[in-house]
Amino acid sequence: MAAFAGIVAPGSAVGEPVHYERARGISGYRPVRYPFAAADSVSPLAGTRGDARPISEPQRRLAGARVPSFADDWYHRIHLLPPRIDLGNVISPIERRLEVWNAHLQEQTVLAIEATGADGLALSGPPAPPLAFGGLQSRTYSFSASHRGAPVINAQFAFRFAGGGEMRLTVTGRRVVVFGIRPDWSDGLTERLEWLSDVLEAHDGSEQRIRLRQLPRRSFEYSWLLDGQDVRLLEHLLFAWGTRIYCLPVWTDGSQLLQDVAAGGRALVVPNAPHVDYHPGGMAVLWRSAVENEAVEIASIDGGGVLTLTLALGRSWPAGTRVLPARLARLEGTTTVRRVTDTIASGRSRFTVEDLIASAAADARPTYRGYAVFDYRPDWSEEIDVSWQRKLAVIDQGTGPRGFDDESGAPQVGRRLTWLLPNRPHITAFRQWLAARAGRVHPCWLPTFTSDLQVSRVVVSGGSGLVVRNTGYSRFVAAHPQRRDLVLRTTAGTLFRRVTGAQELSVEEELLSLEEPLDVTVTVDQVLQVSWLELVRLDQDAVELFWETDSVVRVQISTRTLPS
Amino acid sequence: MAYQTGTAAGPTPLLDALRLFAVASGWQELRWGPSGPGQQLSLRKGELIFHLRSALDEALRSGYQRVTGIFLVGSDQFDPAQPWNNQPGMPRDPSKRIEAVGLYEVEGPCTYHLFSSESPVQLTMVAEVAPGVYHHLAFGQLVKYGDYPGGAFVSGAFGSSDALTASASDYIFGDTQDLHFGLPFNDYKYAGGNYVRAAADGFDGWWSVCQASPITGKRAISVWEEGPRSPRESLANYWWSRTPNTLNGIAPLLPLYVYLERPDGFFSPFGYPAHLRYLNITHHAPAEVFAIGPEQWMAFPAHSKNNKSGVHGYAVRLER
Repeated sequence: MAAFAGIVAPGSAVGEPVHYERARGISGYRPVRYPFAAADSVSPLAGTRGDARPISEPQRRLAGARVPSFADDWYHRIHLLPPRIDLGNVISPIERRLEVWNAHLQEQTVLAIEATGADGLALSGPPAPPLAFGGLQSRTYSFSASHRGAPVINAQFAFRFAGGGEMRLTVTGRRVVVFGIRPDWSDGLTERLEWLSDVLEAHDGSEQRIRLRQLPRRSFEYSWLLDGQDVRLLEHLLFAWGTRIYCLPVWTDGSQLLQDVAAGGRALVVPNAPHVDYHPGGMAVLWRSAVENEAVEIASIDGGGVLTLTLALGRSWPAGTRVLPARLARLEGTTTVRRVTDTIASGRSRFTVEDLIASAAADARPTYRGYAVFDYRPDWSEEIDVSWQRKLAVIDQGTGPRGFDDESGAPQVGRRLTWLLPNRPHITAFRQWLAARAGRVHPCWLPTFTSDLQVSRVVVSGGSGLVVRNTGYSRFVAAHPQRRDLVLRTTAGTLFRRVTGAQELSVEEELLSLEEPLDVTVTVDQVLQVSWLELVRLDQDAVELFWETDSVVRVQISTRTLPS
Repeated sequence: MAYQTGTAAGPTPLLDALRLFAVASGWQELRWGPSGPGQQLSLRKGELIFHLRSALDEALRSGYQRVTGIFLVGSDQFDPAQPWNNQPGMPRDPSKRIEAVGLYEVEGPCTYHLFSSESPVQLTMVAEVAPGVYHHLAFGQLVKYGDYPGGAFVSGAFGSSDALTASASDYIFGDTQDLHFGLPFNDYKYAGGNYVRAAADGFDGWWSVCQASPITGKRAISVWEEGPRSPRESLANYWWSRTPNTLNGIAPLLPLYVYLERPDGFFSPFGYPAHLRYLNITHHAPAEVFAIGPEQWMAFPAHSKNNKSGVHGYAVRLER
């Protein structure tokens, strides 16, 4: 038993006795407060005091079960807040806070923080391990990510605790740098959209078409002509970044800042934003030169063309700064730099876009027999090539006569058409039409745009016969499924009709029977053009848009007819 | 395998996905075969035996509505000579007719989430039967508060055939603002979509978790049952009024305590499912994963968020 030397002080042996005296003016008593008279205290006593602890106490046992609550879900563990950090696209240095909370009621010690794949990432703040976290203690770490480091971020920070516990912080993201080398517009810029489809052709020529790619691949190719500082920058960019992911401005969709924007701002006014390639979650680039530019991430876009940014601008930008949507893109193949002089270089680069999004698909109007009619006259500054092929099998044993089998019994007519799209609305509509085609998958009606028949007699309203100059239709074609639909362009409007039969009236004329009579009277003079209407599909999965300027596009596509 | 997600084109593919997941998670497949237009599945793990049946516009039995989805029952043993709906020790009404729980309204392709947990055993399926509409099935063992016989449970978004309605008997807290469609262990549902296996007070069978008129003859409740006197608020209602935490936006999870009704009208705590929690999903998207320390949970609406079930929802423990 432990013994402690000391004295018992006065008053402590008997405590404070309650002492009352009569209060003046009332017939009651009031307590007298300390100090009280010395006579009330015992004299000081010297000696030793024994410590008899622990003292056993009466115990009471209760049977029962413990009912858990949210406390069991929330305490007795380590919390990392947030448990995961997704950096997205690291285009400038990023800082985040990480809270480590010991939700145990007892002390927990971090023995080590082991980082893997943490190139360019750092945790700082509290002292280095081993570090004790008291019960319910929280510490805040500062997490920073530099824009220099591995292109793909997939890092783990493992907090190892004494006793074998472990908590892992996962950090994901990717680093991008702006490829700020602008195109040489004298050579234009080529945008390529590439769908993928599988066409299974039967013996009789009918097809089953399967779409194999949900989103079309997209690439940009352009030439550049640089001098001085830009050449050196380009070489170092190619040296260091190579085929990693770049933030590539979409040079065809640029506009200019109308007002200055200050550092720290989170909004950009871009009037054409709703009509070009900006999208929430995507990126934009403020560009003044190959060196002087800044990439920003878009949080949202409103109808008035205001881009709300996820992070504040790192610097101020004056009015007139070019603003462009940007895509994550990878440099393809070999980049050849032609050094014209010691300070001038030219070359050509091709980028494939990594962050693909679905493009709006909208079909042309009007529709005819369940398919859209793309009645948009091609550019005839170049000849239109028409190819006629047969699905012909040649059986040649080499020793005797050859055998031929026209498997489908019908020609495969291919056309090569060019369109010049003179402004943004036309370009947008054409892109939507292309998206609706999805490469070779979805067919549509396309007129031949040529004068295929010549009407020789008036067609009265309600008439279902069309008398035309004899071109041998009744003898050779006779309403074949690939050549039986007409588009009649007249001064009274454009009409679409199906031919159900034909008969020769004379050497000069033949009569085509229409499935549906005309609802207007059309004289010979009123007929502008009668063309065959063909059900076609694209004969290619890849389409190239050649941007002459940022608002004029030339595009060439090949089509192939299908039975209607 | 502790978690799997995918899509299924209808009730039978959905049940097949559950079957493959269960086998990969250590359940023994006792039977998998045709049953009427659907398929029947019997699973065992330890002493737990459950039977499921894909239903294609069929009624569980005469008197019930036709449903399309999956029926679920538990049993004591497996009799291979008998179909899924005539096994020993199944949930039955006092007239010995089958009762079940279910996941219905599986009319077309749906996305499913499958969860498997141990200690104690639980298998959970949540299916998005229509955009934003989630229904669940769960079966396994409760954590018991004592050494009582029983402890198995089956939980579904529906009872034997109940359609989800907004009727006066189909809400939480006695307030029509708090519709709860399909919540696990919801005891405000008139007929109940959850059964707990227990032997007490001379009854050895499945206790129906419900508000009144227990369909098996014996009643259990969970956390929504109101008190008999003022203030009448239930435990869940007190808890609900404090969630989510206005300071940090986090919503505490509430274990789904199960109590058995005793002959004297009082209730005795029996147990709770270890891997399910009641949750206010104001700050969670459907099927969102959130972490509490090293644990992960996945949030689901009781039926459809901000629609039929408001922000009432539940969380399922996610182990990967």
